[in-house]
Amino acid sequence: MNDALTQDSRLWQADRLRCRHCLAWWRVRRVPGDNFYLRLMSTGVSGAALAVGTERSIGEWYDAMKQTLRLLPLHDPALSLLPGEALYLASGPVRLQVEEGDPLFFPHAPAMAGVDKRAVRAASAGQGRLFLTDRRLVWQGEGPPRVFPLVQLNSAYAVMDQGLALMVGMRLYMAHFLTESLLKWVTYLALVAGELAARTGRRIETSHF
Amino acid sequence: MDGETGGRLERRARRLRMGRRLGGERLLFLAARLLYHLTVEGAEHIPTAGPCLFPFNHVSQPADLLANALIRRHRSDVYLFGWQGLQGQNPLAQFLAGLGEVDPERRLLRAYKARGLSAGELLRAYRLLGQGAAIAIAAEGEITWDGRLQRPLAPGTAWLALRTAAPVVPVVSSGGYDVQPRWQMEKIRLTGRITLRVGQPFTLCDAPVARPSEQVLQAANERLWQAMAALVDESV
Repeated sequence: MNDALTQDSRLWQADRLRCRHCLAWWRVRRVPGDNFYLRLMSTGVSGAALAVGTERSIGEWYDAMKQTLRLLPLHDPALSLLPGEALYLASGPVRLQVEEGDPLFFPHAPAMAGVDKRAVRAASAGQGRLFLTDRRLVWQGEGPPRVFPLVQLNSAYAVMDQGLALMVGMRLYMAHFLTESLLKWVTYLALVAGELAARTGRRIETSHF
Repeated sequence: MDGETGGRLERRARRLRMGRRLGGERLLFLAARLLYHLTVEGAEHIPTAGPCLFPFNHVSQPADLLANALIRRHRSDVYLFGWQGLQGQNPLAQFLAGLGEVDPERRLLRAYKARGLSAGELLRAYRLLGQGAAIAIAAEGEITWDGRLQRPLAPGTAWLALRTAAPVVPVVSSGGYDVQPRWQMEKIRLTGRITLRVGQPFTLCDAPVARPSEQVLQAANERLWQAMAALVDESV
């Protein structure tokens, strides 16, 4: 379940990773110079076939988790869907930054966007929510919803742990997720991009996940 | 720039300025030896002159900074690719300024997190290689989430290597991931073991390829990944 995993940092003891949905939890063990290892301490109510005590590297658990990933339609009353459209992600609070001259947010700005971004200045579009469907990204903040059709989305990259850099047409956007996983958004965008490519041949470049 | 990001960058810049006052790169290596038992292998492979590409893996900020500092110790004329933010922020520029670089902007090549926008800087890198310069570049394009070398690599390094036939000298760090994993970047651990390993120079083609096809580029990129992965695996 989305955002169910949470890490508990503990000062004198090993960190814990918990699933708030099924109550399974792992003990985090750091091996300096090597990696992090997670030992399953309880399967919770999930009834998972794995034995308590199973320990794997973080990469191995991550691979196992990715194998179970599917795009499942959600419902969120805040977004009106088009006929036949499927909603895959609905964010919590997000801060959005846009180019200062973006006509979608600043109606009197020039419509053309340049390739050279060295002189570009960012402006805040405030706080709102971001939605990902199989056809579009929708921003709901102040003012009317802004729609970014996926066929105009060129790339979606995670920037360190800070946010999601989107390039729609030649415009840049940066979404800072305040309460949820950046990696979740990159992952879902990549999955949706894969579906879009299979359906239309249109390619969206995304971060590794 | 929003206040939180601005504040974080300013705090980092303050630390870097303090580092410069206390000794710059020498202090960085001394601290790394004390805290992370830093080991450097194969530094003799770094060419001291002539065009050269230094692809490095992108594990964590401390490991990346050490890899960049190692390259700069042997090639002070190296140009570095660094992420360019939407508000013009460039952490690598702050790093270089912190190390005492007089004109950090000149040493920087800007990598944008957007499709195609780095093309101009790649062309600049291509021209610089033609003039005999060295270029350091995070070959994966972004920091790993799980510690593993990401596949495929971003195509920039392979494209430059094919267009110029310049020698490629991979520099990898191992052991840096657990110091500051990407999912917990706010926490830099002050213990660990980091090894920087420099590979033997090699080329991806015998002569410059004027127009590398997608297939040729992919094959070169895979070869580069194999070389870097083999170097990372030497520690296993």
